[in-house]
Amino acid sequence: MIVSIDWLKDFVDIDEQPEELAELLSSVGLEAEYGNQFSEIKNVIIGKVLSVKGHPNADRLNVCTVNDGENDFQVVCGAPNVAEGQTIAYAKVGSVLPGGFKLEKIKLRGVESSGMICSAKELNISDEHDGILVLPDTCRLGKNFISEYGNKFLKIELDITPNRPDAFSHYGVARDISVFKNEKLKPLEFETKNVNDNPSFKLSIDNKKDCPRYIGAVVSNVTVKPSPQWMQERLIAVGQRPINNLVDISNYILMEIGQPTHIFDWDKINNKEILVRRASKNETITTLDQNSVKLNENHLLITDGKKPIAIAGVMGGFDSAVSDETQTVFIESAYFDPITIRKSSKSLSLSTEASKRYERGADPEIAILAFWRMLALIEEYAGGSFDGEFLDLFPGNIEKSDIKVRSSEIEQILGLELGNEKTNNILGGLGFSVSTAEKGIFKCKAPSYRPDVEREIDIIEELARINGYDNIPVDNALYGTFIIEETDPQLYLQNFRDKLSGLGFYQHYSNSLQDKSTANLFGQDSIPMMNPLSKNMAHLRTSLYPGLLKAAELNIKNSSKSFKLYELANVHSQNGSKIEHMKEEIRLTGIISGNERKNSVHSENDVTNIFSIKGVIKTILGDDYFNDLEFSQCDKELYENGYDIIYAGKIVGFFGKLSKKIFSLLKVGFIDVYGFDISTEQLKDISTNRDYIPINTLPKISRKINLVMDSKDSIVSILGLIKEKGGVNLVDYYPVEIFEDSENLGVNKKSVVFEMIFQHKEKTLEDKDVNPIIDEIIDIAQSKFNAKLRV
Amino acid sequence: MSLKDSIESVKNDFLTEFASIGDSSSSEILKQKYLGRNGLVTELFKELGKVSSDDRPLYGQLLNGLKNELFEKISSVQSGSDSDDSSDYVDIALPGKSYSRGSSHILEQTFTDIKKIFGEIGFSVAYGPEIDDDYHNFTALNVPEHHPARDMQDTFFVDKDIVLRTHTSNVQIHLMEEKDPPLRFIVPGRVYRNESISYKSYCLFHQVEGLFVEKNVSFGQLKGTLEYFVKKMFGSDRKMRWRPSYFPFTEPSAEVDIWDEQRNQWMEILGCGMVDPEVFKSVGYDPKVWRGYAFGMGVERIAMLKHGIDDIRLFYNGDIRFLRQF
Repeated sequence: MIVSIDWLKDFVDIDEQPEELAELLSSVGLEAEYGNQFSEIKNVIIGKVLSVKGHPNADRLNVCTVNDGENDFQVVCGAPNVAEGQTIAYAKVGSVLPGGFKLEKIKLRGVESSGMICSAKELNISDEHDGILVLPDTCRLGKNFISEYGNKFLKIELDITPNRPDAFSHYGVARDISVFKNEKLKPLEFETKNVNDNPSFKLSIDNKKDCPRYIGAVVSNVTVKPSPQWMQERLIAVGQRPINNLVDISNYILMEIGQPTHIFDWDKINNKEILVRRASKNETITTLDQNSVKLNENHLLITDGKKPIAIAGVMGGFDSAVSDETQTVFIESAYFDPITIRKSSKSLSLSTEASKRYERGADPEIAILAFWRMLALIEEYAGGSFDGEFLDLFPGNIEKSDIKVRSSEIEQILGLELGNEKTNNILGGLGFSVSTAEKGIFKCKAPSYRPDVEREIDIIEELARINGYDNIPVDNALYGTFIIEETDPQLYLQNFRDKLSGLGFYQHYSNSLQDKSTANLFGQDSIPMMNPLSKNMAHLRTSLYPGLLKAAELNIKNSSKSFKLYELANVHSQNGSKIEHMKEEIRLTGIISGNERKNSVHSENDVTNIFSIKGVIKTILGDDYFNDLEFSQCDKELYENGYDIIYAGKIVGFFGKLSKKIFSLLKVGFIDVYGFDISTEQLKDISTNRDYIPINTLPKISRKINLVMDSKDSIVSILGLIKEKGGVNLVDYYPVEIFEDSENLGVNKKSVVFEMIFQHKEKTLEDKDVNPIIDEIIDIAQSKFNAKLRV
Repeated sequence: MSLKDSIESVKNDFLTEFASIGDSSSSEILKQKYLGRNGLVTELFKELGKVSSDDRPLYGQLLNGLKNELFEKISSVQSGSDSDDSSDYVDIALPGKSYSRGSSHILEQTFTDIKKIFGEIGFSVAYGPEIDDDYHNFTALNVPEHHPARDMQDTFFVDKDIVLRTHTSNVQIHLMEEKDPPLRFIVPGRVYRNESISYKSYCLFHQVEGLFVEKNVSFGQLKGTLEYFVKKMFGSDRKMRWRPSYFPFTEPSAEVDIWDEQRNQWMEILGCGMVDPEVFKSVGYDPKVWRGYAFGMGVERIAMLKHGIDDIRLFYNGDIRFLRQF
């Protein structure tokens, strides 16, 4: 909500600068932002149009003489509303307008022009740019525009929280200021009139729960015309567009005291009857904004006894709206049930200034004040006459109950003793009635405009915010029982992050929301949103690969062709539509592409390949405690050449070269990318609970055997053989050299040197301990695995 | 010729040539001929690979002996003069070998900092689901179905009663349902808001929730805890302010702003307050016995303020030019 500083001054003295006022409002819980809309404007002054003549070379332009109080200037003006005798905002040569626009002497279609007559938009007052801004004649010639006139448009933007319907008006905001400053708030007092006991119209309410109060009255002989300039200025200051005197008066009261009102054209209501009731199914109404709306039981209506004339608390109907010809009006000032209005507004997706106030809780008491205020304004500015045609139905009187507030509880929560006087001042100023019959207990009753205050703690909050949060003493002692069951159940993941950082991987955080086909790409049933932002972000991801490949594409575009990226995050899938069917799982997924190292004076390009990714997996998963890793080919579509990562007989993840198909499905340019994708939950035990393994200092024996085998045979069988026959003292084994040499080995043959390391736990090994093992391995390799010892 | 013979032959040749050299410049030529990259002794080392492994230690010893002898002889001539021995020359202007760098994401680092700061004062870490029912995300937190407070957070719905959590506060309810008081937890996690994407808002972001439940809890303790946090996170001279605010699940509620020198304005980093008695009622804690405070902070906002990041989208696009800066 925008509040005008000038308007607030109707109700409370304000001598603070706008910045200070914004700070003050924030400190009492009305989050305020102030930005001076005139900060860029320099040297714009009040001027007067002395004469207007047509431009010799342009039909739409006029050549005006403008006086600044001392001299006359020739100014070319294109505004249709410029006229002799107007007081205007004159931007002289040398002045500056918003956007840093500096005025210079120019020629327009051959006629010299010194400066400019400004529109409201050019001065940051409103969006109005169809004509120049015409100022009241009370503005003094030659004075600075901002101090003489502009200042009354200074405004503060407030973010009113849903619990504070009372602050949704200038009067409500002024109340908080007055209590904070402990200054007087001007009371709301409006003249009342005599009313008929038996008016000529009928008014009834179907269900008092929906509408606890309805005030209606008929005013005749009104003249529809523009509202007075001061009213227009205030509406403009708070961002509203003046329409006509009747509509403006209704809007003015809304902004002034927060009560929504509505004005019907009484001549268009045939039955001279008002009935408040729920809509029936398939009923329709055309609203003020000329939309035809289909209604149902959720909507509360104002009807003429038969057909709807307004959607109660939300928007009036088009057919009964006031127009320039309106002569007799029916005024509505009502209190509707918050939940009823909220349901109605929600189901129509129609949120208005009125519905916002009703759904938060308007004030049933202020409805009558608003009515008298309105009547007075209509009489004064629309010339209406009131013959006492008035009804105030108040069947649902809302009784507020007493709230007991213990001063001990105030002390416990706020850590300070406010004292009786301060407590009374604050609560009294906010409109609460307070009595202190019992010692140490305040008996409070909340005013009708505070539906949010019902409990002791609510009152304590009121005291805290007005007394100031800064005045609550800081307690630096740390209290409480320390119960540490598990410090952080995801601490084990740090191990993966540390290792991947060390290996040169950057961690990525990608958007969890994807389009349907991307989210379903990996064969899992993804979870869709009912109300997505867009089709592109309608499903939760089931895999982290798409986000990584999108990032890969971006980096390649930015000429980072070599990269290692990973993401460690939740993915989601479902196997049903209930909450217990929704699965959330942390996965660790990474990709590498390009060169392992940059080409440099020290080394050649080192292009990543499948063994880069296998090495990464070995490094992050395998160590002294966890070397029981196996890999076996898998036929997942995602990988061109893919492998299961198997730990302790269970598949914990996959790795491989990503297939071309995935790139085309994701509409990402194809590159050679190797990736891994691991389910972290199964690895939790591995990363924690480590016991020291004593270091074996006894000497190791190393043996090598050189086997010649078919080029196409995997070494896996030999490795298996070595593992099987190596016995308990075999601590490590690996291929150290592979080469093909058709001259010496024969065609399609390769020579592989395997190294085996033996170490005993308790004694120094000797040749005789190891030789029989080596012999057996060689024998079996030759007899069973089509390998030959190379001598 | 066997390797042993070759060694003898190279040694004799060297001694002959060495005897005839006059100055240090010719000794340099000699050094290159025998000990240089393709020198005669170096070539002999390459032969070592061809001998049987049994003989290899012996020949290795012989070759090393030869190399040392030659080196000493040449050095004795060269010592005293300024050496411009090219084999010892290092041009340190050449770049170092390149090793790839990596890092945890700046949001991850910020999470880690926050966890550490609260860990030091006894907070454990808990996690909870990103997809949750309406009850845990709203109703149990004192946000009834037709309350305007529902408009404070634009919500993604999976189903009528299933939402993507709009805050980590849902885990407050899960924790209190599972555990008896007292409690002292923080909850890091991802949350979702149905907001269009711009430099200052995204459809998801990250929060750290805090929940403290004990018997005698005051707003002053909440202030103490969060001022400790702000000082640890931003330094002890960072300007901060407390502002009354509204959250349905806390009362009194507050927001904490940090002064942003760059933008010259206050920036909100967290919301907090005393746990509302209604929340305790919904999890079966007796609000007459137990009190508490709770807070929720925006991780992106904290990282942006700390590092002067001006566009929230940078966190999620995976641009290495951004990632490598942290």
